Amino acid sequence: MDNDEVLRLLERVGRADEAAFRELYRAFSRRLYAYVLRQLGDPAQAEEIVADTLYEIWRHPATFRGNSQFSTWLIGIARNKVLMAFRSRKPDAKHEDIDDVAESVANEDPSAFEILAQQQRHEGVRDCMKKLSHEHRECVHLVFYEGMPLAEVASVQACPENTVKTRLFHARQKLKNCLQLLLQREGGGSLAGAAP
Amino acid sequence: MKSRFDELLPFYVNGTLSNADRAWVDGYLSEHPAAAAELNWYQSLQTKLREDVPAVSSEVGLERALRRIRTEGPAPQSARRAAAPSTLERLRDWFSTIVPQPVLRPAFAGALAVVALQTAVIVQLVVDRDDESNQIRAIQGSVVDKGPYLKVNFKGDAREADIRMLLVEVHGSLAAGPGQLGDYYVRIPAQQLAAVTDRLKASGIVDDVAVVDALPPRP
Repeated sequence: MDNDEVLRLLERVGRADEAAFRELYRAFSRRLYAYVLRQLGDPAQAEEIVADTLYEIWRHPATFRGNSQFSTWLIGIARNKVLMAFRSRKPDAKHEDIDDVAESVANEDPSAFEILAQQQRHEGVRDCMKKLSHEHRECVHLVFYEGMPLAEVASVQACPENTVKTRLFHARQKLKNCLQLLLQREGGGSLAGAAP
Repeated sequence: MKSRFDELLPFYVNGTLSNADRAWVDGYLSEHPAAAAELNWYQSLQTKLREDVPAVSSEVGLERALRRIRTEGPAPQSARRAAAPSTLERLRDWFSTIVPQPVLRPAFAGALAVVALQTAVIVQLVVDRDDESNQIRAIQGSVVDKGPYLKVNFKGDAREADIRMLLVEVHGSLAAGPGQLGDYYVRIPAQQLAAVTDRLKASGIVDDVAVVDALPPRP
């Protein structure tokens, strides 16, 4: 759904048109849910934040003026709610052994990339994504799932573009190493020198 | 070279690079065939992430949102009215289309300062208008010196408002004065001269009335 259509629907939402609200909701809820679930990993909490985020549209339909993609703008609202949810959580051991493997394994052998490309599974990617820090996980999601350009990622993350580049670089290292380690544990990869 | 390749590759994969950067990455890949393995991994990663879509309906959380809408009611009218920009917002938006944003704020502040200054000057001119009008009338009176006129002296306790009211009632216009001796020179239509003289003499605020042929010479 392009911004023109979004603005037309928002105008109707401004007149308390519930049908227009439903249409907008259905168009963006899954994408938003994917973002929130990736960050929090809790389906119930993700559903709550999606509903709260889209409810903001009903309350303040005029705040979106079409200066960015509507989905980006929505993610910006959801991001604040996610950060609040993070703050209310107790510190946990989410990152487990990712720190151990983070950047200690630096196998830049092209064959390692080939093996990963061929053998990595959805579950492995999902598990390793969970082990990234919030900023790194969000960065990877915005680039590869949302397909955002560099400037837009920097805007959502409220940081300089160079910070996004640095986050991507470290996220890449950690993901690669985590995936290599998983494959090794499963005995599916011949990644010589991949594990410490 | 490699670090630039590393920076650009994620955005090459998600398709958001500029044409120039895309061409640079293509060039790098053709010069470094081994780098294609990293590209393949990123592409595989992107595919996995995009395929890993949560299996939820597009109405996930919708009922919850609708419940809030029904229990908490519609948004305040002010929030909804904002959907239609105000005149000021429209004017500001229009300015923003013709003036670069960084320039707009100082320029707008400068324009406001100029408007405020002009307003102050105009108000001062309006306030001073009466005094200057008197001077103008006095000067005109000396120029228009063909009579007859009525030279009127008012009593010492006569108020200016009463004097003006009386002149309006007799259809007289002030041609000159008051001079140092308190003489007012009033133009009256010639055919009403006698009647107006009588009426002025009968007024409680008038001390003396005399018909004169000309205005006094200018000092």
